[in-house]
Amino acid sequence: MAAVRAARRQRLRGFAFVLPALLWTAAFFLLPFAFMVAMSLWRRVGGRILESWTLENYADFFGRPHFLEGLANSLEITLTVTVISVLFAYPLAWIIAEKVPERWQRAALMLAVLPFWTSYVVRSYAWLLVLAHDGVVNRALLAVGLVEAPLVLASTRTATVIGFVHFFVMLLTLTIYANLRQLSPNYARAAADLGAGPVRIFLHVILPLTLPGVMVGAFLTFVLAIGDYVTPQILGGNNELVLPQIIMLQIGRRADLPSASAMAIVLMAVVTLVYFACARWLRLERA
Amino acid sequence: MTADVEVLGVSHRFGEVAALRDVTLSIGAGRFAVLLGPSGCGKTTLLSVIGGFLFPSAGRVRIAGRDVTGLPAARRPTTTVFQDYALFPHMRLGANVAFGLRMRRVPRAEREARAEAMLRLVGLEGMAAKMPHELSGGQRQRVALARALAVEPEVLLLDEPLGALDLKLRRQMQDELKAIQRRVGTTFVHVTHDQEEAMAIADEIVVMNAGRVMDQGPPERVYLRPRSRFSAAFMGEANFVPVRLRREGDGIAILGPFGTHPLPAERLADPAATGGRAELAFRPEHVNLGDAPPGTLDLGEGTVRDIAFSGSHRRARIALDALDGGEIVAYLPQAMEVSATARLRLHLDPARAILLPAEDGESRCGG
Amino acid sequence: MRRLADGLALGYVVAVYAFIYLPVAVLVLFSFQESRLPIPPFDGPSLRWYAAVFADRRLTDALANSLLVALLSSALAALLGFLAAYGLARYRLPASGLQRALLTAPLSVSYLIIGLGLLIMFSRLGVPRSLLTVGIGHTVINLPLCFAITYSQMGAHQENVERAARDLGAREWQVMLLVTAPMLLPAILAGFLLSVTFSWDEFIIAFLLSRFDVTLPVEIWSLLRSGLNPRNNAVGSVVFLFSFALVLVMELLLFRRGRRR
Ligand SMILES: Nc1ncnc2c1ncn2[C@@H]1O[C@H](COP(=O)(O)OP(=O)(O)OP(=O)(O)O)[C@@H](O)[C@H]1O
Ligand SMILES: [Mg+2]
Repeated sequence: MAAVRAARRQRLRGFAFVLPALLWTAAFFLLPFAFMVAMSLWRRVGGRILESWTLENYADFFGRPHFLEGLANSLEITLTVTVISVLFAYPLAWIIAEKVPERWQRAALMLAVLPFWTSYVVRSYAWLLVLAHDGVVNRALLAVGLVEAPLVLASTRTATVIGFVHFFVMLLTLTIYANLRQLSPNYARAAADLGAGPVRIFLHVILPLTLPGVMVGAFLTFVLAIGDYVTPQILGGNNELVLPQIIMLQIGRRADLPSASAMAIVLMAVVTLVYFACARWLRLERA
Repeated sequence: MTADVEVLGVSHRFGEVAALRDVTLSIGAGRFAVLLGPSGCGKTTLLSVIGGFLFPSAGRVRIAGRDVTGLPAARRPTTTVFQDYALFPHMRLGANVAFGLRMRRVPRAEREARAEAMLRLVGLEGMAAKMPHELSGGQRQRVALARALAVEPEVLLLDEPLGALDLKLRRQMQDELKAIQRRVGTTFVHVTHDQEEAMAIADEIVVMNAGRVMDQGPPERVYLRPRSRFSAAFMGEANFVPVRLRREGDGIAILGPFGTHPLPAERLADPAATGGRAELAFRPEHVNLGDAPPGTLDLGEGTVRDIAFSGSHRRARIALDALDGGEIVAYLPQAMEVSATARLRLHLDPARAILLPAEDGESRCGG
Repeated sequence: MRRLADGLALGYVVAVYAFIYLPVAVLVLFSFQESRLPIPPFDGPSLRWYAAVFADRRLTDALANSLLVALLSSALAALLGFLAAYGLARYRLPASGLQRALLTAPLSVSYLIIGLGLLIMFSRLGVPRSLLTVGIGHTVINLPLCFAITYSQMGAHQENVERAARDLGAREWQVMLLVTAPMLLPAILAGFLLSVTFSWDEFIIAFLLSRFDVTLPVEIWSLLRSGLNPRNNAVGSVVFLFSFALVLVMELLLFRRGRRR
């Protein structure tokens, strides 16, 4: 009996430590989410919010080509960015992990991800400078004679993709490098012992072993890119809007919180779907 | 500063796993006791029950005659030296050793002096200002010992304190531990799975298996007269031959592959089991070469199957004719060179023979 | 063959590093531009735009606001995260898996959605938007981070160390204050500093939840509407320098810890 009571007291004390964080998360994460769900089921009519339940916001979203295009743009850009970023980052991470002498690796890695820490807004602005009509890239291309007239780079989908790739190459280099370093060199040695050449070692040993880590990085890229407003707004401009831009338009210009909420929930659903689609490869839990 | 420990019918379960089953033992004040057993047999669990980190599902613990079963660690007259030392990584050695005194509100000057004295005791004089991460494994071990002894516990519990050290350092620390124990006079309860270590330091060995106590006694007794097949096998190499027993006057006789042979009744570890089946056990170093003189136990002839040089002796596997080619292990003199197929004649001093009750379902440790 | 491969590898690394540093270099270079447009040709160096930045009250106010929000919200996140990690790592609690999942859930939701949810809730409840609401939002996104980092450092070894303290007579609050917190200080600090950099840099939540007093990214955002301008370059360079200093502090702390092992 005493033992049971003591165990209960212990549990209560432990719970007291967790409680503040739980309350915080419930009050400022779960509750707002509930508000958002409720809001998505209401309507904004004539500048007022009508509190009667309806699915019209969702019907609107899927009924209007303009909104669906936003979703399509989001998906296209995000997928492009994810693929290109992985393709750029993997070789870089591999070279740092394999070719750079041990004592310089940390420095090389730090150097590769330093601009990661510049302000997000500022980084996009910096790309705008680079890609502007009279910017560095166009001046260089003109000077070399590769183009006759300045290219239109700013305010295009290309600019958005470049800005994103810049950010995620750094992020993925970090995660893939960490993955490669975790591999025991004995795997490669064992494969070489058994007669595999460098290419086959890479294809049959290194790549499969690092694939789960790459998938986690790619998923992270996807989640962060598809929810981002800043990069497409600064670099892509108002041409091909992505979903977060449309959501921000609903909030800002039209003050239509119900339809913004519905879109936000659609965005979350897309991410969740993608999560379940790659859950096989994602082991986000502590091993 | 020293007290006896009594464990009475303690059982403990972790969900499905029965880590301790009805353990009863008593350790005299000022003794150096060693809990010995294979990995996973419940040594750490038993130590935690004595130290107050774990409250047993059943049974009682008494220290110095006082029932402490429900008391937490802090209120018991025990301290523990942990397997991973568990030094406070952010405190200097002096602060580490003085921590217990600080908790007891000993004034700063006094506790610093005491900490320094404890560090001297374990051979780390003048290192009070170092940080734990600046030390080698053996040195950390000493700090953990000094920290636990600084509060002058009545019983010191050590969980595989030498487990992480290399063999040479380990043998050296064994001797030091023993010397320190003699000096402070505290009751030590030390856990290990190394039987050599156990024999080197213990006044008293407790052999455990699968949550049970298999044997308890001074090292010599446990080695020469083990009370169970498990402790006979765990305390070093042993040969086992099934025999039958018969009462014969004051003593008993064994009947088996080596014929009939009388033995004094006290030979049998558990006298209640006389009659029926038993097991004759003997250690490889007790096997003698040559024709059996009268009064010895004749093992007959055998063929050497395999022989290996192991320093102080040669270890031979010999197939005995009397066992239909069943093999035993014998340690032959270092100087004797034998070929791998030689025929040898062997005998045994009956004073060295061990009789054990036959075990049916012999339970071994999982893991 | 080997030479060629190494040469290719070197070329690749140089190209990617060039790509990574191109915008930063351009940003910093043209912050020293003399004329009004931050585009080639470079006609500096001049510090006039930096002077303009530090003379701008709105910018310096925003900078102070950002620091305030970052430090306070990160401190709160670190504290709540540490307490929760301690409770979950040291006590057997019912539904502990669910509790951990709830605490880390905000990590997998876009900042935009978190911000929008808070915006809706605050407006429905009549809570005015201010630096306080921004700080609340930043604590929501940083709490999971601080929790996860400290929780991952509370292994069996650390538990034994706490046990040793208890064994030597320490009471619960003494264990926590004298042993657990100092022992985990590197992890707590790492979580705190990471949170500071995230909060310092965060735009969308701050944009949605602030009104009159704004944080630096929001202020920069409104400056950007003026288009390309060396003053924006100067602001960006200052921000970069600050983040860089933070990362350096973090690296030194982690590096020191790495050497200890
Ligand atoms: N916290 C726990 N939860 C569940 N089972 C446990 C726990 N601690 C120990 N056990 C189990 O109880 C049994 C005894 O464990 P114990 O740690 O006492 O063994 P041990 O003799 O100290 O082993 P070792 O020499 O490996 O340290 C083992 O089967 C182990 O798996
Ligand atoms: Mg153990």
